[in-house]
Amino acid sequence: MRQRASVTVLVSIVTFAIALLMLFPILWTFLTGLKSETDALSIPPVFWFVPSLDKYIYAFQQGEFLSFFYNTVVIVGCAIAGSFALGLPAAYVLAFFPGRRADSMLFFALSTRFMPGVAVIVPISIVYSRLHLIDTRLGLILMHITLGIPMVMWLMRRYFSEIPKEIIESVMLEGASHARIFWRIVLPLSIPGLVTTGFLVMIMAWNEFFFAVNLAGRSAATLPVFMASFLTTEGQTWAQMSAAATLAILPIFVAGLIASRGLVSGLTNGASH
Amino acid sequence: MGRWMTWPATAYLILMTQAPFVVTLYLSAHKWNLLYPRRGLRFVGFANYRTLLADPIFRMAIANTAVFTLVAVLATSVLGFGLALLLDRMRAGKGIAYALLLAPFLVMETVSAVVWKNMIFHPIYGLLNWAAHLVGLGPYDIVGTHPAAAILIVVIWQWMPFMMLILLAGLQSLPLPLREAAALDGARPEAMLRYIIVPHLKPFFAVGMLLETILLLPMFGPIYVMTYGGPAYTTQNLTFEVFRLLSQQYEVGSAAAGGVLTAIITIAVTTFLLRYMRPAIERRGG
Repeated sequence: MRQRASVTVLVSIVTFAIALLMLFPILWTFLTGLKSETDALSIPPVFWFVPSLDKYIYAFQQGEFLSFFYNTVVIVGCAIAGSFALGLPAAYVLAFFPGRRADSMLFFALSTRFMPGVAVIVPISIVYSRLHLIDTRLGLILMHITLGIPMVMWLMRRYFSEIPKEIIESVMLEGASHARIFWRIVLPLSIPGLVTTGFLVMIMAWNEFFFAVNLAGRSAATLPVFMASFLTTEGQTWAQMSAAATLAILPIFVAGLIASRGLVSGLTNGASH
Repeated sequence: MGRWMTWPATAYLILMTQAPFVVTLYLSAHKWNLLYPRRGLRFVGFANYRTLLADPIFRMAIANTAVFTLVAVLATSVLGFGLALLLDRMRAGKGIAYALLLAPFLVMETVSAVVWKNMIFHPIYGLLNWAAHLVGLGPYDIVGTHPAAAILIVVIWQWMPFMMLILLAGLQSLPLPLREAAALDGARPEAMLRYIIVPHLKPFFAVGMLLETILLLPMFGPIYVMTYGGPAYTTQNLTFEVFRLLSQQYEVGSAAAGGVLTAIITIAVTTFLLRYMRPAIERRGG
């Protein structure tokens, strides 16, 4: 479709204006983290100031932020590993042995993902406290694996089915075992898909709040819980809060930019099956 | 055959979701308060359900769940559609604008709620009041006077990119010849929108709205941070109400019954939407 040049320019300007407006709260958070506490609270707001990395450095020195950050990294890392360990073999079967049983298996997995957390939280929190899993990293990891498996199955089934069936069939004729096909052929051919899926599981686990707040207290809680705790100090330490917030969301921005294409195709293509 | 390879995942999911749900069902038929452990577990049948459904606070939670979900899904659909149309029309800088617009969706919900509540909505130090003051308005205390609206603004800001993402994918899958032919025939933009773009996007709207409904129905973080369900329980949704019953009142039986009711409502809404939208979604599969 041909457009007049002026229209094209106008569209670009309007879109960028909206984009910046949408981004403003995030941008402002980043900037506030570079301010002193007095500047952070000043009205009218200070737009020109001497930026300082003090608050960002302090976040890492002060220990509290660092321990939540460490918890999050460990929990998310293990959750990804666990979801892959259990979800990938299932995705392999779904992709290469499709059929009614595979469909119902996938439907079952997805339905668990869409079950509201409150439908399971009562017994899980009771069992967790009996098993001393409350407020442990292991407890949150086990829960996050539950949330990750359906995503791995859903997205990886798609990436696996893009591998030509002929390759798999010819290797099978040579008598290769499933384990061998899986490790030597299917996985190496799906590295881009594995990366995208890994990032999407990471984003979900990194930001998860409901189970984190219900199953973890001081010692195992993740960054979303830490950020919510800034409510109690409302109005006091905005610069410090902003620096912590920026650091908490930064890894997700990187992951999100890399994985956004995969997110779209996972959501839209998959939906037609 | 390698069929056994699905067993570990299936077994794990059953252990962590189906089994607890069965226990939730069992607990929901009992009275059990963790503050009074000596009273133990007493079978009460459907009493927990009857009490909850008669309780104005619980009814309000149901109504709030409906309002939050419906308003957020509709608003993000309209606004996300607008953004997708703009992005689709862009020639230069599309990738950058796309990345910028995606950003709110990636922010963890407690961060966005804390940032909006303090730095933007704060009645004294917030940017909104400063801006309103410049044009001679305010001061506003949005979280204080319109807490539900404040929550919705943050949720809509956060989820608009999600809808935009899906609808943009839809727009980009629209066959170019179709658009060009229509343009050559002198189709006006309104007609284009109505007869070509919107019909083509139907399945994408359907998928986006379905997913958003499922994901926003159990919304928790924004409420927890912005209002903690208050004032006087007026901004609680079902998830928050169950959370309160369990973590503040230690009423295991009632919380379990609330969880079961939430699951039933979620399944009912999802099934209805799936049935209603299935023709639209499947047509795309071809």
